Amino acid sequence: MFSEKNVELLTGIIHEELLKAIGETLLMTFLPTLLAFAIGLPLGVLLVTGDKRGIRPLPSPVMQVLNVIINLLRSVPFLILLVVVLPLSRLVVGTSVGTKAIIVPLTIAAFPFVARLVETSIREVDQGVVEAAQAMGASPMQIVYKVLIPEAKPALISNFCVSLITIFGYGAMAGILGGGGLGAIAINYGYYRRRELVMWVMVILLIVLVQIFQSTGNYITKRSDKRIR
Amino acid sequence: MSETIIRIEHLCKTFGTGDGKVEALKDIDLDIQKGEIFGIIGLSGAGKSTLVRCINLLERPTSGTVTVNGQELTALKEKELRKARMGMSMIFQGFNLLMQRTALQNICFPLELNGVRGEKSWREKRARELLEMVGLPDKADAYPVQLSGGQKQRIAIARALAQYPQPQVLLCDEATSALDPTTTQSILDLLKKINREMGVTVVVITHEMRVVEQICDRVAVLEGGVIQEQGDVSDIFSNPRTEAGRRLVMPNGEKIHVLPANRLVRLAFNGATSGEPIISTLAAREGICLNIISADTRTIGDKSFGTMVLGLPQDETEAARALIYLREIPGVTAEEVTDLVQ
Repeated sequence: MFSEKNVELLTGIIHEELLKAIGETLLMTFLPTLLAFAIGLPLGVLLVTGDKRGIRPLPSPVMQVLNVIINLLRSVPFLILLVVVLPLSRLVVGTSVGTKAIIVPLTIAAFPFVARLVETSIREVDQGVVEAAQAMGASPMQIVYKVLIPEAKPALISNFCVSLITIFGYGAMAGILGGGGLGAIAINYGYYRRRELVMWVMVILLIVLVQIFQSTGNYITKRSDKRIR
Repeated sequence: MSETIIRIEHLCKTFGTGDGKVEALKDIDLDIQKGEIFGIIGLSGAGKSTLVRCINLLERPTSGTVTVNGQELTALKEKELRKARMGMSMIFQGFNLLMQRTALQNICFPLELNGVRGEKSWREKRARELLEMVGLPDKADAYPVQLSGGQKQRIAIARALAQYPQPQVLLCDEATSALDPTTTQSILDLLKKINREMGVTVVVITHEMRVVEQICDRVAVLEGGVIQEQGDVSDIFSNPRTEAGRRLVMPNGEKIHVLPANRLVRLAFNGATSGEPIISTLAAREGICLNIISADTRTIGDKSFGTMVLGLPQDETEAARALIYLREIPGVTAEEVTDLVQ
C-alpha cells in the first residue's frame, strides 16, 4: 500500500486536486443543505401548524398528500434517486454531470428529511407557551415567527448540523455517478484503480470534516440555547 | 352597585362524540363584576380549567355565550377575537414563559403583537415599569431557567399586564398550584395589589380553599361540570349549602375516621362572637359537656372566621338542649353533620 508509486500518486493528487476537491465537497454539502432548509423548514412548520390540533388546521386530505409525498421521497434509496433525478439537473442547472449537477438530487433527497426533522423540533415546543401566545391575541403567523421558530432554534441548529452530515455522506456517494469532491477521488483512485492509500487518506479527510461540522454544530447549539444555565 | 364585566350564559362544553363523549361543563351561568376577585374552586376534573379557557375562548364552548366587557366573544370572528383577547390576559400553572427570551423580552412580547405601537424603547420602558411593579427590577436580563418558580410567575404576571391599553381582566389558571406556601402567599398578595391598584378584575381558578379565602370576594364551587353554589366567600365558608361546598370548606376536606360521639355538630362563627367562651358557658350553666373534635380559624378578607366540630353527648335530651343553646348564639351557625362520619 505504501509503495513508492502509490505515495507519488498521492502527493500528486494532494498538490493538484485536493484543494479543489475540498471546495467541491463543501459546496456540495452546504448549498443543498441550505436549499433543503429553504424548502424543508416551511414544510416542517406546516406539518405541525396544519395538523388537526395545530394552530391553523388544514383540510386533512392536504395534510395526507403532504405526508405521502414526504414519505415517498424518503423511502427511495439515494442512489436510485440520483439516477432518476440527474437528467432533471440538465433542465435546472444545464448539466447532468459534475458537482453542479449533483446539487439538484441532493436537495431533493434532503428536503423531506429536513422537513421531518423540523417537524419534530417544532412539535417539541411547549404547547403551553403557544397557548399563552394565543391567549394574548397572537395570530398564527406571529406564533410561527415569534414563538415556534425562536423557541425551537437550538433544536433547529442541531438539525442543520445533522442534515449537513447526512448530505455530506450522500455527496461522497455521488462520486460514483460523476459528482466531484473528496468522495469522487476516493472512488475513482481508490476503488476503480485499487490505489488504497489514496482512498484511505480521502476517507480520513472526510472523517475530519465530519468531526469539524459536528463539533461546530454542537458548540453553536449550546451557545444559542438559553435553557442551559 | 357594580357592573358585570364577564357574563357566561348557558355555557356547555362537550368533548368527543358518541361513547367517548364527556360533558365537561353543563349549563354554566356566571356573572363576574368589574373590579372583583372571583374564585372558581373545585377538585381536579371538576371542569374549572375548561371553564376559564372558555372565558377567552382558548376552548370554544359547545353552546352558550360568553360576553366580556359588553362584547359577545362567542359571536366574534377569529380576527376580532384576537383583538378582544388583547383586552384580557391569562397566567398559568406552568408559567408558560418563552424559554429563549429574557424576562424583559418576555414582558415585551404582547406589545410586539399589537403592531401599532412599535417603538422598541417604549416597549422596554413599559416592561421595566412592570418589572418594578412585580418586584423584580434586577431580573430584566435573566432567562426563565435562571429564575425560581415564584419569580417566573411574577414575570408571567408582568407579561400578562403589559399589553397596551392595559388588560381589564386577568385569568389565573391554577397560578399558584406549582408553588410552595410562602411563594403562593406572595403571589396572592401581588394579585391583590394588582386588583386594588390597577383595577384589574381577577378570575382565580384553584383547588385550594386557602387561595379563595385569601383573596377572593366571591366564589363559585364547581363540581362535575356544574356550579354547585356561588356567593360571597364568607357566606360559602360559614354556611356551605351543598355537599361540594362542605367538602371544600371542611378542615382538610377529609372525613373524621375515629368516631368519638354519636352525633356531630358543626359551628361556624365570625369574629364578632369568637371571643365568647361558648363551650365553657354551656358546661357551666347547663352542665352539658361537648367533645371538641376539630377547630380551625381562618381569615377571609379582613374578617376572622372559625369552624368547630363538636361531638354531642350520648343522651338525646342533653344533645337536643345543647343544639338549641348553640343555635341561639347570635352570629353562630350550628348544624348537625353526618357527612363527616364514615
